[in-house]
Amino acid sequence: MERRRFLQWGTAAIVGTAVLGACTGDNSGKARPGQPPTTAAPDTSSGAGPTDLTLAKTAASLEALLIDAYKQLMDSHIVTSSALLTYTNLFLDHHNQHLAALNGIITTTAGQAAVSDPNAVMKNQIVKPALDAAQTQDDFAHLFFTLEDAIAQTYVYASTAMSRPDLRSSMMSIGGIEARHRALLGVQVEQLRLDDLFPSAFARADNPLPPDALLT
Amino acid sequence: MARLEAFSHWFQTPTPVPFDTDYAAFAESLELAMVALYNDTLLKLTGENVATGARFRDHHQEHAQAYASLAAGKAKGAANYALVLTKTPAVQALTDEPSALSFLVTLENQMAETYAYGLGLLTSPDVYRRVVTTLPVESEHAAVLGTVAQLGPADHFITGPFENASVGDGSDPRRGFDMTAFPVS
Repeated sequence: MERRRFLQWGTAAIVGTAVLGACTGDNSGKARPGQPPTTAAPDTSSGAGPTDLTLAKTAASLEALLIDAYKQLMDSHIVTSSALLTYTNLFLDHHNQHLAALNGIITTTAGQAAVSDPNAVMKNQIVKPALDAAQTQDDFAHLFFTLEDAIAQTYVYASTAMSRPDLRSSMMSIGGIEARHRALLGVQVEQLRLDDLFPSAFARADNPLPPDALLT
Repeated sequence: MARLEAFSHWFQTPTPVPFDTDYAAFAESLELAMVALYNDTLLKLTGENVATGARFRDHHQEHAQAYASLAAGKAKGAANYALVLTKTPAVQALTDEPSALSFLVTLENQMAETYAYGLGLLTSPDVYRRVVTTLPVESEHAAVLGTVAQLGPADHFITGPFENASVGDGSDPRRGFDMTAFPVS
């Protein structure tokens, strides 16, 4: 099974194949999945470069998306799994701290405002329809596993394209934790087999997001 | 033809700088030490946990091969002696399966911390990209083994919401392995 099933078929079970069109459709003139944007060096030593900012803002918007989604999960009262509820609280705290750290990176560049809104493309095209359609605990569990899968892969993608070592280290200090989220939900909630959890000895580094989900 | 060569050169990944090839050799030696430590620890595991441990050991073998290919001839093809020496007393002290699982969780955590720290130093794309794709897998190893060891939710995150980009002499589970304390031998 592909790790990127989130965007390839995972959500299709919940929101229908029409949503997936948004993830795989032609986006001529925009960055394609699997191809990091060209790395551009920062203009100043203190701030992040244009590519760095795009990636940090996108990651921040995904953190805000996860925060929003986990809050909705807690409010749904559909989920009774103690494992999922326990991890929901912990992961919500993590995502809040990740968002704050990313905003620390973003706002060191003059004129850049902190990100607080969930990624609009992901929210409108993927997550909101999926949350609205979720009827069972399994629906929620699958959605949150696939969200953590996607955000973990986004950090890998972003870290291969960022211009500075300190930024790559910071991003993967978060990315490693997202990978743990993914693994814990995969094993304890989704009950995946090792073959599904580890399709390879290395993490995927291509962009798992729809191209227009990247914030500029 | 000259124009084609120039064009091709433009797209080639820059040759890794010496520090980064040193780091790749260091990473290879750590990964091979992990293979050796897994082999010793597998003897303490039972049932499905043996297969899980063997799978993760094989991942480390693959990681070692990948780093060796980036080390510009500096890779020794041998387990990091200092790491094996440091951890051997702990392996010998393992009395049961839970203690073996906890030992492996700690090792995997320290590997993730090692790579988080290393990313702050590396500048050669081939090397740092390999580290970026290795780190999360080692973090996930820790999570899976921690699940088998029945760790509580917070115990899966001993450094909180961030991997600790910090290294030391191997005695602190919240720090990775310092290149100077664990030289390639």
